[in-house]
Amino acid sequence: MIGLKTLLQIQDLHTYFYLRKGISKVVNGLQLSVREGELLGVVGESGSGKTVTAMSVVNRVRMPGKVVKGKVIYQGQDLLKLSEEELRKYRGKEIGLIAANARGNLNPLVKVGNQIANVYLAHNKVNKKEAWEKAVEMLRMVGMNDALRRAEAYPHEMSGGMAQRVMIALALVNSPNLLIADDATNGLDVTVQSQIMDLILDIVNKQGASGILITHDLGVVAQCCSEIAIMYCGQIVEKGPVTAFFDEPKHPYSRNLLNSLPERRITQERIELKGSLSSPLSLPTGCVYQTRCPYVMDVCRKVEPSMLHVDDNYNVKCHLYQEKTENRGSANEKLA
Amino acid sequence: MKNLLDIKGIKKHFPVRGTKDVVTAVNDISFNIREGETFGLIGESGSGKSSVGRCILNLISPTSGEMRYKGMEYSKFGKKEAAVIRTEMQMVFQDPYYSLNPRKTVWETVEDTLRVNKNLAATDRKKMTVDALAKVQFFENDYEKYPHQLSAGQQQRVGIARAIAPKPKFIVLDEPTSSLDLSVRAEIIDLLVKLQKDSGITYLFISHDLSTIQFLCHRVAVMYLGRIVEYGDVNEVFHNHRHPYSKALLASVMKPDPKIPRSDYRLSGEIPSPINLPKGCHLASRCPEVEAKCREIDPPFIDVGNGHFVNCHHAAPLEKERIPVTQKN
Repeated sequence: MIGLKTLLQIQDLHTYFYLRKGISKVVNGLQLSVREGELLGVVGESGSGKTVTAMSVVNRVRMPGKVVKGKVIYQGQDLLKLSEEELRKYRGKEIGLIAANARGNLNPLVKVGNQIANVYLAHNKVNKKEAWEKAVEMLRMVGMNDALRRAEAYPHEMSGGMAQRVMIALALVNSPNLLIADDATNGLDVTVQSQIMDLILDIVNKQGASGILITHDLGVVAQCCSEIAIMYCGQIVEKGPVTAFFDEPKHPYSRNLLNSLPERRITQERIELKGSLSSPLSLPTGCVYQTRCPYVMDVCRKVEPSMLHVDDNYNVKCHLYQEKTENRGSANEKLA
Repeated sequence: MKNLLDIKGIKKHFPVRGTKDVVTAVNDISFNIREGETFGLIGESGSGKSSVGRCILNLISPTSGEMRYKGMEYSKFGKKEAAVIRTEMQMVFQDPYYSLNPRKTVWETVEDTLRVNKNLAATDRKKMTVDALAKVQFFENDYEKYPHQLSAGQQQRVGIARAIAPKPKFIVLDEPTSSLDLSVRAEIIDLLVKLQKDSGITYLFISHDLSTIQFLCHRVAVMYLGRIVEYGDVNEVFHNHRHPYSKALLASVMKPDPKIPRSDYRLSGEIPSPINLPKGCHLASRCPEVEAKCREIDPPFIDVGNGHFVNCHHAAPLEKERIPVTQKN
């Protein structure tokens, strides 16, 4: 199912926000790649730069923010080099984005059916009537009861779950190759969350698309994704297959994150995760996690660790592993 | 253990403006909370969890029903009598930032809750404030901070300090962790557990975060459309649930372990409107196990043993046949 070809590659991405207080380095040297047919879960706490990463991929970061450096290579094309005009061919057609806060991102003055139809019209040679029919069909596909009537509704007439379904229909109407879901199920009840995830999985599998699932819910990633990437202070600190990660997370931050889950705590004692994320306005030199890391060493305060390949498809950005690349076993003992 | 609270048949109706319709937020709910335990209330948004919490504190008065605190029926208390009970029953709110006054410092926020008690001498009041703040790890150099200078976790700790300052016996926790990040959530939960261990406070924990409920609570009630559909010991409800709604709710929880397969037990559709509630079982329109009688007759509460009660026609009473557990654990 998962192809070997890389569909999307993000290289050394830096997105900064120029504020009165200084430069806020929200995305800070991010490396990430998605293979064809892969569903990647990106997990991080609030403020770790998840949403800005998603926005940077489709080059939608606006003042005072700016993508300063880096490449976003989609099927061989660097999206950041394209003009606004050229990018429109990708947005909504090749790359579908499901934004967080569905109701806030829908146009409150346009019927939801028309919003979907407009996206379809922009990329296909069809007339308005056909586009409208496609919109109704999409609403039906995302499990909306009474789709014909619902297409005539405005966003404020819908519940959170329904608005989220509309967003999904919007993102999927042109059958994109890459789906980016930014916190698509945040704030929804577990039952609705489950229905929405069924839908996304179904579509990704049926259309053979790839997806990036941005979330702070480790449960969603464990149950739905094939790969996981952990984000901290605008960087990916660990990336690997889901099963390997949940068996034995490597980065100290990932370990702490996993141990703060109530499910894990029933059986395990928690290592305390002290303090909070470093401010993106004043990131420390060296490792971004040094302020909270229980295993911090001198080298962590001076040298930024590089992304190390420690196993098949498994990468981690930590000095604990740099020392022991040939002999991984002893690094684990040190952590245990 | 003694019962601290006895709630019997409370109902709460909200009128819909401009019409004769009423929203039935709480529909004939009875349960009790034992001294020193954590009682969990779970359900989807709109199921009436928060309304129950507010009714219990008499922040909104129930339309009908009886509420007893240590045997005293307090729902009809006048202002003076209620004030006595108020110091013993407190609340922590969901959104820590919006539930704090932005113009009050940490110290003022906590101290002012104690001013309500007119009999308290100023020195005692100061001492109690220091105590409460120390319990949530706030010390002198943070007293003069305003809410916007604090992180979300610190804000929620101030919310907790404010609740524990009058030394209450009972606290309603209305989704105290749902707006917090994972690591901060763990910190708040640890704090709540510690407070209970130290001073034996009883909690009513309202949440839709099922894993937190499972970790923290002794007994749990599942709510759906203003009714309790199932309640009992936390392990009974999480591992041996009988009600189709509880089954679906617990099946939709995504476990952070890729080795546990997802259950495919699902309800169709969405929660119906609490205006003009249907006859019979409220779940009938979504239930995969629905029968003709579910649409006509209100299901009774069936005792399935071990203090576990299920409000469903299909629940077999007492150990006749155990419905296979849908979730492996």
